Amino acid sequence: MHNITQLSHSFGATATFQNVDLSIEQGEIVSLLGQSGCGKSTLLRCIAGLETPKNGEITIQNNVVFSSKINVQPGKRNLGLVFQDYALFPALTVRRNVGFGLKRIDEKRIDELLDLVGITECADRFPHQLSGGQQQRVSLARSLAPKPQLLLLDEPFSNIDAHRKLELGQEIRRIVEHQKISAVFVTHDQVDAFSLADRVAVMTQHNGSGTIVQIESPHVLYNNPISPEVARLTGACTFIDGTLTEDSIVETCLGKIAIQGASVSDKRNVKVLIRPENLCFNANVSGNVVIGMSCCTGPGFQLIVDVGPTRFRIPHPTYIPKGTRGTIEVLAPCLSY
Amino acid sequence: MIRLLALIPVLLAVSPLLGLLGLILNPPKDPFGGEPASLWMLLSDGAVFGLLLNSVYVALTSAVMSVLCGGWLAWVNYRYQYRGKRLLFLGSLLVFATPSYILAGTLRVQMNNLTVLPDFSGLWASIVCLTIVCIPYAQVIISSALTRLSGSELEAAIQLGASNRDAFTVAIWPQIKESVQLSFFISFLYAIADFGAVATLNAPVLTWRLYESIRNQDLQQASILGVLSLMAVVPVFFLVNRYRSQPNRLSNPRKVKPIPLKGNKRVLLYCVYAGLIWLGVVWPTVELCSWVVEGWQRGLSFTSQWDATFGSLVCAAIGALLTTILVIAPAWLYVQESEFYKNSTFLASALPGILLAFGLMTLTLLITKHTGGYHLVLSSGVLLFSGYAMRFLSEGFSPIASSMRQINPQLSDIAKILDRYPKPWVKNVLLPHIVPSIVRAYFLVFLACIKELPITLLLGGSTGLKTLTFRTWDRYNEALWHDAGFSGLILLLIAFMMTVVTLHWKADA
Repeated sequence: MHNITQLSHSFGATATFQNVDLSIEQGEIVSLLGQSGCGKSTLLRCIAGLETPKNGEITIQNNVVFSSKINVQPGKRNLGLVFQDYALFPALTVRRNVGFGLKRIDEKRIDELLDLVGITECADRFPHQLSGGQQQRVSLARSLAPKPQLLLLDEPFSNIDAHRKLELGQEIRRIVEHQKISAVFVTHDQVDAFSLADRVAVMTQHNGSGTIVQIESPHVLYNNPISPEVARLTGACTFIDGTLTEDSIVETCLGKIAIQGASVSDKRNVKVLIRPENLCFNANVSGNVVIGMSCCTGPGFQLIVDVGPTRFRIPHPTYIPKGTRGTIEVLAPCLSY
Repeated sequence: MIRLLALIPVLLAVSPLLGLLGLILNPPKDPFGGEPASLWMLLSDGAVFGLLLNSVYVALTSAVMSVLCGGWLAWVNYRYQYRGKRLLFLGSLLVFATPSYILAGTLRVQMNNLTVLPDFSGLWASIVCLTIVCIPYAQVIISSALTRLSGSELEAAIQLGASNRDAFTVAIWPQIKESVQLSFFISFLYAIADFGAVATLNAPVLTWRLYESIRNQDLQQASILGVLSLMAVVPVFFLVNRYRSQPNRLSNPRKVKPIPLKGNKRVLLYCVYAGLIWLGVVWPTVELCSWVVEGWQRGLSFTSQWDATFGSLVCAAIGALLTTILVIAPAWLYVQESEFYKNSTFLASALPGILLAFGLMTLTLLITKHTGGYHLVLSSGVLLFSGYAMRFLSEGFSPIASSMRQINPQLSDIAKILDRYPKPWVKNVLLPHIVPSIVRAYFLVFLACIKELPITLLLGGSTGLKTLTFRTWDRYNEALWHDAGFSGLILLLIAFMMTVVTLHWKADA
């Protein structure tokens, strides 16, 4: 079990993040999701020991590595770190890169890791002779060589082609499970976070400094974001204004919409969160909305419909031409704020 | 430890200033028992300020002319395609190898043979020589700025119907303005610090008169001239630093497609290149050869050049080694921490060589006044090599610091995480990356040391080592031109070879 308790950091007078609490179970993968500049990479660097926090406590495998009295050197924390641009040593071959962290050259361990990440055939090549995905695998193997207890990954997929991301994510998951270690990875991409992590910690900025506002499993986070900001970070959504007319019913530009558990006594004016998959377009010549654009998304189409100042993107399995009239149906009760 | 090592160049930078200050505060006694002149008397002498004005005039004019010519060559090289482009560009860079005193000496003899021209000496002749010497500096700095530009803006302007002139003014000039200004200040600094050309052409400027004052044992006058030199150099040094710190543009920009150069512009370009290469490279070589051949035809005896060649190689090798070792620590701390280390390194190198040598001498005199051992220090070569190191720290600093800056800082983070920092990281990551730059820095400093004249003249004589620069200077002043030509020719050949090696290494690196 690894714990971060009330951790704060600042660059000079500017606070980067404040009072961050995070627990990582053994074998768990936790993703730090947030926009650029919210302090998630700095938090990762603090865990690694490359930045010194202002206060708080960090324990790795129940050993305190940072507190007001202790600051263990990065090399003594027993961590692995993978950067987004791989940071491979250019003058060393793949084999020597992987073995760099070993106190004594252990060819058996290197071969085992090369095999684990699937780059045995590249062992004698130099980093510049590898593709981005291969370099990422070498970087991963190098960080695993000293058998770390916690693996830190800083935007590991940002330089990888979209179609390779999923495959590499699954590889990382398999390797982390195989090595029986935990992992924290930083990303600003919700798809990456949801596809790889067991739990996602959403970081947002308040008054210039970052903080973790919600930690949940991807499914719970997507369906029950605690604020509009978290909702926007965790997937495509549209917010519409509405007036609560009776318990769990809101009057909006789309008509009456059912919402989850809100009563008139809470407040009358609300913002309703609508996810695209919760909408359905029904073609109807007497309908009150018109399709402004129809875009192919591969598996289906996305219909762009403007209702007043609000734009809706509605998934649809078949092509419907621009200008078609119809109505928008909300399929399930929505969240409101 | 590394901080202590980095402090050595800082101490070297301030040591001549301390020496100069010590001399002003504690003027030497008159050897004939007379009252030494007061500082005010010396300063109120109008001739002293006349020298300052002359120095600034020579430096300013040379800098303007070299920037105009070098800048035009750089622009044409960037924008146009013509036959022999690469060869002519590299040929013009060979002017780097020609020491200014050899250029001035050979031009003076050649020009004076053309009786239609006035005597080739004094200020205007110095301006001609220094312009030729400074053109490659301006050309390289502005070319480097142009190659970092993206061609998109220029092509967009042309696409929108702008004339070549308008396209240049709108798309190019705003982006290279700072580099043009930098090249101007660098040329100015080079010209105002030059000793070889102005001494050979007997130009009444600060550096030459400073040397004469030292030679005549008039140390008080020398200290005043030294202070005036500082006044001329230090403000320009800060301007250079301001422009040198401008951020780099794109590292790998899309280049503009060069267009064919035609008509009068092409003729003009070939004429400028021919003039530059002829005056800066071919003519000095041919003239030195003719001095040797003439001496041989007249049956004059030649002094053996082995000792001078050996001495030059040894001095340059040791000077370059010491300088290269000294710049590693400040370059590292500059990249990691502070501009202070760069500024102190560049300050030492911005000072004229003659002033550095004089400052070092006076500081050593002050220190050894009570302890004794001045001649021991002078003859051991410590002062000579310290002088070389101070003068050429910046030449070694730039390639090494720039190579260190290219190292991804995450590599050291990874090594720290893996508990393999610093030793394994230095061995496996840092050294493989910076060794080519260290070698290049060594070659650059070697080239600079082997050509260096004023420091060698003032501080090298007592070491017993004969050098080619000293012999060329000495024999030229004694009108033993066949010997001067022989020494100068060997020096030129070594310098040309080193320049080619440096350019080749740069291309590889």
